[in-house]
Amino acid sequence: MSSTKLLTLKTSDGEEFKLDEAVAVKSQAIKNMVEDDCVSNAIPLPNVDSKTMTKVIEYWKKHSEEGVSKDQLNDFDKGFLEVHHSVLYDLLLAANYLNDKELVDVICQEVADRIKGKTPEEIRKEFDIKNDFTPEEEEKIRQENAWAFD
Amino acid sequence: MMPPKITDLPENAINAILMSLPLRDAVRTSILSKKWRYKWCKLPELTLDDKLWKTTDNLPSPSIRFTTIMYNILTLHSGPLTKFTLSMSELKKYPKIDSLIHFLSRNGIQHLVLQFSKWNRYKLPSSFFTRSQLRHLTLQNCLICPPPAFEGFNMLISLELCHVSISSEALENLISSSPLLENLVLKMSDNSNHIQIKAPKLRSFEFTGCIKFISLKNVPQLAKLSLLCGESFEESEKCDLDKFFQSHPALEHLHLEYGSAQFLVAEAPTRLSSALNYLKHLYVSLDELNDLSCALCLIRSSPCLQDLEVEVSMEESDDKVDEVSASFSDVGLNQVKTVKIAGIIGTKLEMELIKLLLAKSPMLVRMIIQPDQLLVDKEKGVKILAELSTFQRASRKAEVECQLE
Repeated sequence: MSSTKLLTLKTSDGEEFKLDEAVAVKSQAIKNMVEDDCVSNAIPLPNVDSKTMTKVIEYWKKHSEEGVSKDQLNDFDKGFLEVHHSVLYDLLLAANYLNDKELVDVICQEVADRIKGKTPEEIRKEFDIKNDFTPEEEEKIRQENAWAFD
Repeated sequence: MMPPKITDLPENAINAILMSLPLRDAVRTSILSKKWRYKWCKLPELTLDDKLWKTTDNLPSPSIRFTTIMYNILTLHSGPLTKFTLSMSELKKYPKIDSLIHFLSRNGIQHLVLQFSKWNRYKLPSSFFTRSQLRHLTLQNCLICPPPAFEGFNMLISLELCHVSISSEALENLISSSPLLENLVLKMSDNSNHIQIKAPKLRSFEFTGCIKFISLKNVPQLAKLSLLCGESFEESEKCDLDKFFQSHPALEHLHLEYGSAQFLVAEAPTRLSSALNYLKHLYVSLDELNDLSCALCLIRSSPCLQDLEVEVSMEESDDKVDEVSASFSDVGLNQVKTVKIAGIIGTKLEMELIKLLLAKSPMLVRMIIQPDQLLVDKEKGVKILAELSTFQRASRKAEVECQLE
């Protein structure tokens, strides 16, 4: 029987989140702190804001629920990731900082899916990347990696 | 604060994104902008699969295409390469890759996957067999002849050999010279040599082929065992069930396909002489009633079983319903929390099986029924679920879910 211990997480904008330890240790960083026994006060997370933390906790809670089928989780993930790029990057940076490999992988796959199969122009437009190559430089790259561009 | 842009994400995040793309898409990012030009070159893991060699009209030939791509990648790639996957499983003729193999084995690679085609087993060059930092190795459709002086891959943690040609001596040596080996997968349907496996740190073993030829000599830490069945064996090639499991008392996970094809079930006891006290997860597939007898023997011998997964493909034999019911009389799933049953089409036998499982599991939390997608339409599925809801459950907490999609 696991005791339900609550941890307090404090985000960069000063908001506090109370969370079951069993759920919070999805973050390897938090898990390490628990094991090193430095969680008596609120755990400061200066690199994560409250908006992003809310979303991360939403993900953790769903993925800790008992009795949820794989299909239900997939549906949840799909909806969870249907957000604008900037939200995804904030989530990715937070997941990276918190060291939650599973969440990092899920977000990276989503970003990859948005890149796959698109032309360079489409990718630049969607991800707001400025093309700073001259036409000659672009041609050189196309030739250098010809097999990828044919 | 400006919202982050994809280009400014940390390198490990960019790598993770690029590694989730097929290699071609990853290389195409080189043209997005100056900052992106060489991001793909730093990827620590590369996967080159059959899609890369295919062209719509097979021109240039896959061989030439392969050489062009390899030259491009190896000249531009910088930084450590820890994982390399090369799949040529659909080529009938291979380009010369001995020097590529040599290059890889000298470059600090930790995880290597080489898959060749079933038409043409590739002979690994002797330069492959050098002391290296390899930790994970997967070889498919290879001819493996290590030179006599080879001392093994002493850092190997996991080894997977699928449809390889290797002498039993070479295989035994390969395994015993990897003292850190924890995971072993052998797919050797055409093997008929006796092989002794000595792996003191082995935790997981997956085997496809005739298990009788495999002798697990020194595997005190074996926790997970998967015996997959490609075919049915002659009686003389089957194992004694009781004797086999006597040597593996520490098992926690067992995956057994078609037990009666691999083990002598007719003479099997109702209960093993030494219990599987640590077995928590059991998967069985049932094609005939003898497979069920085998499964029940294992269940009776596993007092701590928590998860049971069953896949059924049994013919309609409604006259056997009473026999099945009787065989459950001394069966208790006393610690089982989850049960999953797949392949259901709604025969009397299957429904009786589900009824018995529900009646014998006092700690059950969840039962998932997966009807056969091809044979059961939504209407039939609803009928099955309706019938299931009338069955008595030993556990008041038990929820039954029928996955109808």
